Amino acid sequence: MKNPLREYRLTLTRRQLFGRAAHGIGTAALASLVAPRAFGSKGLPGFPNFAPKAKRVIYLHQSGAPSQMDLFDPKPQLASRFGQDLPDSIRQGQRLTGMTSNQKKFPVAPSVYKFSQYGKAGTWFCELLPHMAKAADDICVIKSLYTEAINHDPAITFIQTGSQVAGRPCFGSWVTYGLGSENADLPAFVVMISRGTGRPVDQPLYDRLWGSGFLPTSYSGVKFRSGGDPVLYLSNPPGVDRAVRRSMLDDIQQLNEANLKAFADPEIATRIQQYEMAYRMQSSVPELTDLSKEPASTFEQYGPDSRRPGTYAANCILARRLAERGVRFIQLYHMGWDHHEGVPRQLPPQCKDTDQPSAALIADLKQRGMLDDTLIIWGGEFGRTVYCQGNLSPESYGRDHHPRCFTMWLAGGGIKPGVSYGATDDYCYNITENPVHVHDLNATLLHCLGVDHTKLTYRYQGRDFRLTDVHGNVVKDILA
Amino acid sequence: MRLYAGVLLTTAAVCGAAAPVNFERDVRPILSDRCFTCHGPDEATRMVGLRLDTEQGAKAARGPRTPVIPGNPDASEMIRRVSAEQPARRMPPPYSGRKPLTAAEIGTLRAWIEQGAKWQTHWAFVAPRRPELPTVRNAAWVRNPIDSFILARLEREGLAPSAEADRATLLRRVTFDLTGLPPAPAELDAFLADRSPDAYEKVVDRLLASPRYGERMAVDWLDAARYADTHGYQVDPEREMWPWRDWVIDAFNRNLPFDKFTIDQLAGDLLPNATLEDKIATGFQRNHRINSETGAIAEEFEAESLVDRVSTLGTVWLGLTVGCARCHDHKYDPIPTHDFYSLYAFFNHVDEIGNGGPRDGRGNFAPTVRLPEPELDAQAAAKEKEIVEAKRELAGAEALVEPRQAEWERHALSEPPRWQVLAPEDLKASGGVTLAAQPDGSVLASGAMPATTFYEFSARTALTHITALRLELLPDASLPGGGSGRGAEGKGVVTLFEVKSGGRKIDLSRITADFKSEESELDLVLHPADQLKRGWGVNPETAKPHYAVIEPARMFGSAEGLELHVRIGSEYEGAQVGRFRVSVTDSEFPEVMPENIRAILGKDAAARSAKERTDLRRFFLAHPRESRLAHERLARLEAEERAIVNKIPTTMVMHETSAPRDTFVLMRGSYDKPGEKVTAAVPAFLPPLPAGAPANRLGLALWLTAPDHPLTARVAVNRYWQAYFGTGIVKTAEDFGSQGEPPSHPELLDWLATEFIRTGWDVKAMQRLIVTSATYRQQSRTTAALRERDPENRLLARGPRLRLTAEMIRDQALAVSGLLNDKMGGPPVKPYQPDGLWEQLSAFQGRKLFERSKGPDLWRRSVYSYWKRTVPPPSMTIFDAPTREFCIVRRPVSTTPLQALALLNDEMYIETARKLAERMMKEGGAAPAGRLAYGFRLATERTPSPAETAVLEAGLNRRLAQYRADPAAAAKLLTAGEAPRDTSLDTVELAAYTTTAGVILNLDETITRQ
Repeated sequence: MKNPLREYRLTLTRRQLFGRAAHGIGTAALASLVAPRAFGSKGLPGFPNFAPKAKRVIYLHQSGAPSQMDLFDPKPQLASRFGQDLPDSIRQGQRLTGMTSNQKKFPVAPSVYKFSQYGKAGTWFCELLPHMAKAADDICVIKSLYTEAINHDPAITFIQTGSQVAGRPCFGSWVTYGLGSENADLPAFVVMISRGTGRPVDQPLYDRLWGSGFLPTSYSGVKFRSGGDPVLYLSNPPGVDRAVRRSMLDDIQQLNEANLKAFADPEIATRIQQYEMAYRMQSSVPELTDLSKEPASTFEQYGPDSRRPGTYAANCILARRLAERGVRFIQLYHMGWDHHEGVPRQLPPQCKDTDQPSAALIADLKQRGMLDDTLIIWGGEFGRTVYCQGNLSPESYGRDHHPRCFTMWLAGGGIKPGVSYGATDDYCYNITENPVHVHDLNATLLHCLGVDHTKLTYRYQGRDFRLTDVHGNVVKDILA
Repeated sequence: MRLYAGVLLTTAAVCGAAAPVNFERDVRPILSDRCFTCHGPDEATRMVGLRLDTEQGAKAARGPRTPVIPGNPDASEMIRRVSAEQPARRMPPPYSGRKPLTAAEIGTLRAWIEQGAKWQTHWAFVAPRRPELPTVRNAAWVRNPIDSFILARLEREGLAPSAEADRATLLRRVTFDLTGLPPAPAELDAFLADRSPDAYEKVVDRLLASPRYGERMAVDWLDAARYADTHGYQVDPEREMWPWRDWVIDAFNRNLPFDKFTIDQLAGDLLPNATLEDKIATGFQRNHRINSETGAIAEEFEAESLVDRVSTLGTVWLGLTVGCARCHDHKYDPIPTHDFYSLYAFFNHVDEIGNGGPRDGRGNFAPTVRLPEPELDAQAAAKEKEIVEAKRELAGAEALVEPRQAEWERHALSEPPRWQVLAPEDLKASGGVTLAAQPDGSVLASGAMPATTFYEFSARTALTHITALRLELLPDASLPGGGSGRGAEGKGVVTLFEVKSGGRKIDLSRITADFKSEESELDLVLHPADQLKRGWGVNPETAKPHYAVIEPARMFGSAEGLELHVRIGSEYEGAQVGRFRVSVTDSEFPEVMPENIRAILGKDAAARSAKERTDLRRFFLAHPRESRLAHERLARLEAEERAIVNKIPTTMVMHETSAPRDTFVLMRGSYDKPGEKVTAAVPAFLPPLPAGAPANRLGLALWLTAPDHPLTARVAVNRYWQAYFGTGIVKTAEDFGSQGEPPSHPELLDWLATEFIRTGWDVKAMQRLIVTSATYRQQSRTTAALRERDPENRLLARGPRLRLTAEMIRDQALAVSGLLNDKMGGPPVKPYQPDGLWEQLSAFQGRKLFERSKGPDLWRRSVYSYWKRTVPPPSMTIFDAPTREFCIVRRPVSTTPLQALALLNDEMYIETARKLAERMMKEGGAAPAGRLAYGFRLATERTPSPAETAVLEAGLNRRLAQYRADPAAAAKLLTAGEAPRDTSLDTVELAAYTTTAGVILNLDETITRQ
């Protein structure tokens, strides 16, 4: 193990070498020599375990759970079974949520949407996803995902942390813990949230979802916000400009250095570094979130919403900018997919929110040569039921939570493009081909990052925890 | 990084044959970590029937081979297998995921076998025996027995303790440790001046007697108890548990012995003649999260609650990872699932609903208790009397009108209410929409199409007893598709309907409609939910006229007639109301007849069932004017009573059901897979329930606090130790099992545990013992050599240097700025936090928006801050406070840029810097150097060195110049926070001092106790 104090002394010497800035601790170039160790750290020795295909992740989580049979997994034969009760042979005693367990009937609600096949694999897309349809050859659609939870909190906790029980680190925390940071001026793990227009007041989110669980707090995701400060407390208060701030920091750092000399506590050296990184973030984050220098073509590509801060589209542009700057894990949450009623009313706006920006993100990264080493994930926490919740009419229906099958798509680093993987039965209720458990998905994603999911562990409460618990198999069929 | 920079000082470095091997210290950790996963307590996954967690398993012959043959390592199969050359034969196998043994570890095992392979029960499972005090060479250093143990070890390691910390450092350290706050300048002066030999002990006694002590001690316990002010999970609505939090603070302050503290919180309700306080204490067991998500299955979350209680009990009292045995037998400790669910059974008799059930007026789920509020209780009783009277009147009125039912039934379906169309005047619409009154009294919209618009008009009515208003949506040829709305295909959605009279809103209580679109949510029209812009629409029947009837909670009207002001919201983008008309009526039956009543009326009277007759009678009786008035009066009184009762705080408690439930082992931990039936029992490997103890929670509490319990006292004193030294004697404070780290000072731990029990679990005495030890009083300043030798300070050759906790950092800023409000207890407060945090994430019932507290409530101690689990206060979590979603007994310590940003830019820290600056300028004399020294000393308890003063002064002068050049900026800086500013001080000067006060509050030394 390296001695932080010695490291720090080394940088002091380096600084003298480069010439110390007039007011105390100085330039970004110098500070970058030390900073990656502190926030998000350098990663674990031996990681990545093998040559990674992807260096970073953009995780587009669709919170609330999009309906797989209305978007990706068409079941045209169901049209003739409109309103018929779901056969017991299909339901097989599957448990129901508290919302439909009192329903006497489980009438089949066929999708109202038209589907067509796109790309060389003939991947199915519904008419609400015209832009993604054009990206068919860049993505891998998995129709055979399944999970264990049937309600939102446990399910989203499960897909993000590998456990339904709160308290484990999330995916982004695991990745930054294992692989560390590549940017000394930005956090390694950034989270952005947007509300859906299909259901503006939908399932809430919670800080825990990007929390580091039992890992050190420095691996928590840093939430970027569209209103106010992009990062909490980022802006200097009114009346403090950058010169005053620098002047204060110089005092703080000089006094901290004196204390470091007296106590030889490496924690003090770390604090000195982190104050410098905070200072750098005060310019690097606004620079990042300022889209004014993006050309008009960017906004055209990502769609009209992309000019409005805080939308999914605007967050997709930010995701690309973060990726360009080497941020390791970029987590988006788009809310509004929990369509227990009125699917045909709520689904189109959700698709409008996400279809064009998601496709644009793929194309944009590809054009910049970054799709090859960026892993993109799009999907929710479970699927939705073929049977109707609430009132059923030929035009409208609601769908309850369904853990036994759902669809996600992946793109980029390490993923085989232009693939449709897995299949479900005639009712889109059970998986008939190539089931992919959430643990398998997470093992596969880690694999793309050059990480053996069984090796990324952390000792807590006497055992070695990992994202995939004691499960997970890499789905080799979808690897590039 | 402190967490995993583990150096196991206790492992004998290399065990040659000469070094005596200690099974517990040296051997069990190896076996546990590498072997127990497949050869341990879990029967289900045990390979080849071999277990190495018992002496019997390790030493019994297995055919020709024996794992461990005492005295003969070469013949022992264990040694052969762990050192096998061939990977296929070597243990542990690669697929197990366990690392191969190092040469040193194999050496340890060999030496152990050579020395006779002495087996011991895991140290933590044997009751502590009071050890002899070790003899030490430097006996003069020893102040109390703690020091004997620490020094003996240091002397063995060839190390010497450090000098005692200087008085100021020591005072600051102990004041933070015992009260969570810095000492006041006067306290420092008094201590520096007190030359009596027990000056320090007197300080400790003063601190232990301070009410601030309970507030400090409570924080750790609140983490362990996962205390919060909301229910958690995604909906995260509010709950009221502060009475329990106040009980905890009070329990520490009155020095409730730890055994009683335990018994009350586990089983206060089961004590004979349980008091209200005893019951409130059981809130510990209700602090877990409760999932009231709409789809949550009650049985599933009942199981989650029980698992949480058992796991928390395991962590807090047993120091064991009991929760691991939920799904499978514990892999390392002898806790089969059977025993896990036997513990679970203790908690499975509570009158509760797994997904919460109805919340009371305070947000709590049953069972609860009400706090005594004599004045409100009296008001509620008075109201109750009025209610009895009103019920009598209602019965009278109903008797009076009852004979009219038959007559009503004859005409009910044929006679519609008599509506009087309101003639609209002063028509107004927002967003550029034009409204035009039509000859039939309807109103037609045209013009601009904003996303949202509101229509308003006034009208007069002569009716004296208005029972309802009617809103009609009428088709018009000028509208798309000849519909009634302005949206595509004539869609229009009413999102709001409001009526005022004489400037006062009429309380509208009910809406019915002859038709509504499938996505309509009628109630939202009267009670709009934040952001949810839905309401009443009529698609696909937009081309037909439709109507909604809106009833007031009480009839209204005036003999002189009334002027009404109507406001209609049209906020559903792209679906604005096109043509509408409003009418009023005084008909007794104005509403759209409910389907069930219509059906009953359609039946022959003789064919109606008893229930149908009752339903019809009820419906009728609620309508005639006389009985309606009596109904309304009763409803009003009941609402008033509810309002009074809802002011009375409640808190969630434990309460046993009258009908005990059966408990089953849950297969793989799943609530819907019950296995073998179990009854309440303690784990078999631990002592049995004390003789005569009942097999309920009370018995469980008595068992935990029995003097021969091997874990409770050790686990508790270890947590205290951790609070003072940063690391427990057992570093893994949550795990004393075989995977936990062995104690750094086992004899000391046992001595402390037995001392704790001997003193009658005297909590304050234990704190006093630790902080008065010479060990604790050492300075933390040290040499690089010693730091390298013992980076984690496990040997304690120096004093602990720890970053302050989140609460201490904030409370200190409040204290040194003079803003701290030391009011104790009561409902939580909401200090400064950035705008929009709750709004961004929350929804539904959890979406009670953040309302910042005002004035002195902004400056309460952090233990009283409102804790919303899904969005906890960022100024706390940034400094490593947990989310309080689950039990935590060991907070991590991180250092991040977010901490710097919070301390530099959080409104609260700007405000405290400003108030500190005012103190520096007013109390620190006239000279800058004196003022700077004053402020520096307030925050650090020491006078700055000349070099430090020079840095501070140079910085101050730089910023004075900066603000002189820009006085407007200076004025702006001073606006942060609500605390009034002392305007007698010069703006530019105060601004510069504020920045320097900010520098002082940000120093590593300030946020650390050294």
